[in-house]
Amino acid sequence: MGTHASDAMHDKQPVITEPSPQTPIAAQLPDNLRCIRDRVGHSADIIIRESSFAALGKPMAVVYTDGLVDVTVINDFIMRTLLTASAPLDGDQDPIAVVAATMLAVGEISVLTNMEQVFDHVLSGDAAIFIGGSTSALSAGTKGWKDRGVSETSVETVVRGPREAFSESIRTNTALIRRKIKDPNLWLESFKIGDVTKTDVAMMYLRGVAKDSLVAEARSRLLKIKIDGIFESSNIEEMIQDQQLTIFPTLYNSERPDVIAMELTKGKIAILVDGTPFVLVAPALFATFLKASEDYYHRFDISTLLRILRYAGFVVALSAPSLYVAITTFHQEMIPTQLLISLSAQREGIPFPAFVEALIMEGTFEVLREAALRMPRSIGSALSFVGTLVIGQAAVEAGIISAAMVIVVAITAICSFVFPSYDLSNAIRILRFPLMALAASFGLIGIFIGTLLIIMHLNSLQSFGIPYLSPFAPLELAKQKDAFLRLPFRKLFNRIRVMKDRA
Amino acid sequence: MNEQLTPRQLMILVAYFIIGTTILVVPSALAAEAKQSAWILQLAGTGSGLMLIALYVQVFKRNANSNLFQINERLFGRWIGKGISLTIALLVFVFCAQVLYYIGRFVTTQIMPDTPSEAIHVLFIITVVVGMRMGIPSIARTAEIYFPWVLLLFIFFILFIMPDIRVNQLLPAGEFESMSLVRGALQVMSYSFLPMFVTFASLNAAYDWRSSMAKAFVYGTLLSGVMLTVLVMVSTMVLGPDNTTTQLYPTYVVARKINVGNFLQRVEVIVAFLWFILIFIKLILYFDVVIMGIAETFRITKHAKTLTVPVGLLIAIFSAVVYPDYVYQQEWDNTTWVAVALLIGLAYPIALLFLSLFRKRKAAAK
Amino acid sequence: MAAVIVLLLTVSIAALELPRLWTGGAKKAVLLYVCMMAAGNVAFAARSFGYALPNPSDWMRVGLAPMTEALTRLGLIAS
Repeated sequence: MGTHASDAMHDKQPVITEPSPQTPIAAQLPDNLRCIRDRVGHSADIIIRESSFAALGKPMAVVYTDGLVDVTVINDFIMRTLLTASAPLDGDQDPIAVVAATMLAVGEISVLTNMEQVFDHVLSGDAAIFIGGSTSALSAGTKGWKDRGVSETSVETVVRGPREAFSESIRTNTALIRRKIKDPNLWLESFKIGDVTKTDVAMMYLRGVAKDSLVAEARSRLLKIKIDGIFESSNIEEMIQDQQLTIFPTLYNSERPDVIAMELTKGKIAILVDGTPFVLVAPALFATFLKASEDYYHRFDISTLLRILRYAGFVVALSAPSLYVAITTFHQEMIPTQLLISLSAQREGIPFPAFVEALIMEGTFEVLREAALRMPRSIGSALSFVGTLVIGQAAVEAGIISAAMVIVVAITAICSFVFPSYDLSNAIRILRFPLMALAASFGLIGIFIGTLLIIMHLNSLQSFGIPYLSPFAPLELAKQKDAFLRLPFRKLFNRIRVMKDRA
Repeated sequence: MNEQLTPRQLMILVAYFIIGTTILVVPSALAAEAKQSAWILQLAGTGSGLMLIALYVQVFKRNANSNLFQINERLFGRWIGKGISLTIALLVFVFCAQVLYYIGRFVTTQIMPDTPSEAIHVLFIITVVVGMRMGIPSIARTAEIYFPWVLLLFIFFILFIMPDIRVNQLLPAGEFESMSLVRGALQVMSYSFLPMFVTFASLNAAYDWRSSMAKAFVYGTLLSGVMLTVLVMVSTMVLGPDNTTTQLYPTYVVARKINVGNFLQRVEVIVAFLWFILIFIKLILYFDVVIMGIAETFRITKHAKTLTVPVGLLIAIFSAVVYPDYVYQQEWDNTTWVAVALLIGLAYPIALLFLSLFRKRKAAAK
Repeated sequence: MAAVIVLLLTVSIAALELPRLWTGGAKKAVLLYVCMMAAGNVAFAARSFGYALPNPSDWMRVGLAPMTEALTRLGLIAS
């Protein structure tokens, strides 16, 4: 199996791959090359450079994928070295081993023993070196493809704080995290998941801070994944989350290194997937989704207030239309008299009951929201502006909808963007409608039942074994200082303590 | 780990249970007995409740880690034990139907008169069934989440009603005959404390018996005792003793009077939320007794959750049967209910205590 | 009619629950479930046709009559 000569220098675990049928490397070079050409169907971007190994006078070939490799490394450090190597070797020493040990001026080297490994490495961007007469091959790390580079975040913007975002290359991403945490306890385990895509997936954690049981559990779940292709971290998310029927997310994701680094220092694990800038964090509790990284970049007083605002926004986004429908339909006595008069004047000519109004408006708004995502950028903002304002205004004047309803829907929409997590706001979007139905049938009692059902459901959820609504229930007073309020740093980051493994 | 109740959760569940249906039914009964001194009766009830709790805790402690039905089989022998378990399950089944009836009647008479009470029954029983399927730990956590809001609502209720309080309505204090005291305390005990035994015993397996658990019972009792006494006092002070007697739901009528600056008016539904949470928890705890009772008797504890739907259906149907009309309800609540409560809340635990001691002595003698 | 709707609902819920139980080996649970659902449906149908259902509170009242007598005589209950 591949021995990684670089293992001694890095603190990384060996690559964990799935066992596959082993095609041995033939001693005759032409056989190997024919095998390769047949397997890739003579693909024009798999380059095979044949030449002669100077030191032994044997034929040699270098195989690599054009576009995935840094050609300079191949030309200067592999081709040149091997073509001009002078010192003659004994015939009985394995040339590959000697080359590996003494001749290649390349950082990552591994010895390959079967063709499947050769394909894995070549198709990942390494160069495979064959020498006639040897039944192993050498893989040299020559990865160098075009990357988007480290750019600004588009989805999670902050007023104050770093603007870097992850890119699609997993190595860039792990590097970005290492820039934030320079502790040798930051361990990285890598996996190849996906039978066809063989996507690189890495799990990072701070050893000693993250619970061993959590790490073991995450590792076993990742190893259990059986799927053809992994294209996005959401594919991984679906496969490793706790098996429960829920619309609420139980794994957090972010495209910002500082967020991920902060979560790592709290004892969570990060799962990076090659090909996507969105990195997963496990376990993720309800409180996690209502935090923004900015909470830690501003003073604690404003952060606490903003957090409370966010929780209030969450409640409003979920229940505002339902409350409006319930109170105007069943409990008019609760509205102060002046307001009641103007409300009923507004609803005077409206043909629909409040519930239908709410449904129409909410439905229209959802449609607009989806459409705005897919419109080309040039038209996008103008059209959504037009859509909401003008259509709303026109509908009010046409007497289809009351102005109060438009206001309620607008407030709901704005509040649903207050909390940073897109997954959670999706859950809210879905839940709003059943809640409206309950409100329309049973008034405030209906809303009571609806919220009770939602809370009971949330309480039955777990993220990697931890109750979803911790630290609110079961109540852990020690953790309260960062859940709802945000106390000053002196009280938060005492030191990163080692957590004992609890059963 | 997730199956254990924390002491805090236990305290909250105890407090909710005690206030539960009591708050709807008892204040007018107490006012009928002792007019303006109703709150003294409530205090007496809470005091006797504490003694009952002491008895229950003794039984729980000596039979730790087994729930009520396992205790029955162990102490009474297999078949008599099963018979008793089943009887208890059936009794509590009737209680469930009654609680559902109370909720339905409260909502349809006070909040939404046009809604048929069957609809409310169905709504609540569906919620109970769904909640039960999520397990008692989830329910306990839900109770914990609602707890700060329950307290907050209660405090705001009292605060907003302060302007309407006339303390002189409490005078003359202490004018009641001693039998009234006993009867009032007994009423409080039958609603709040006597049913507690079977309810919390069926959860006994989930307790981790340290001293903090016993304290949880005491704190829960004290907290709810304070809340109930305050509520009874407030309704006497705001409505006057005669009105408190005649009103169906005196505390709700008090909530109706809240008027903050002519802006916050008629917000009694919010206060009703308070009662709903408490009653819901009580209902679901009763429901747990029924389900676990049947499951243990027939030995299908692993699949107990499947029983929830049929039992829920039956409860919903019987909730319309169990109290044919209001007169029947008053009659039954005042007489048979007290008898039943005393039976399962006093005689039964005492019997269990003796049997536990007896068995221990026999085991020690061997 | 309401009874038919209830029957349909219970059958659909049963269809969701029972197969998993049956193959999981919980035969007793399935039996209990079916019995109780049947009882529930029968009771509901009976009610919607106007037959009065037996009232368990009545049974309790009758069964505990001696005790209620004693309690009333003791003055612990005020009728």
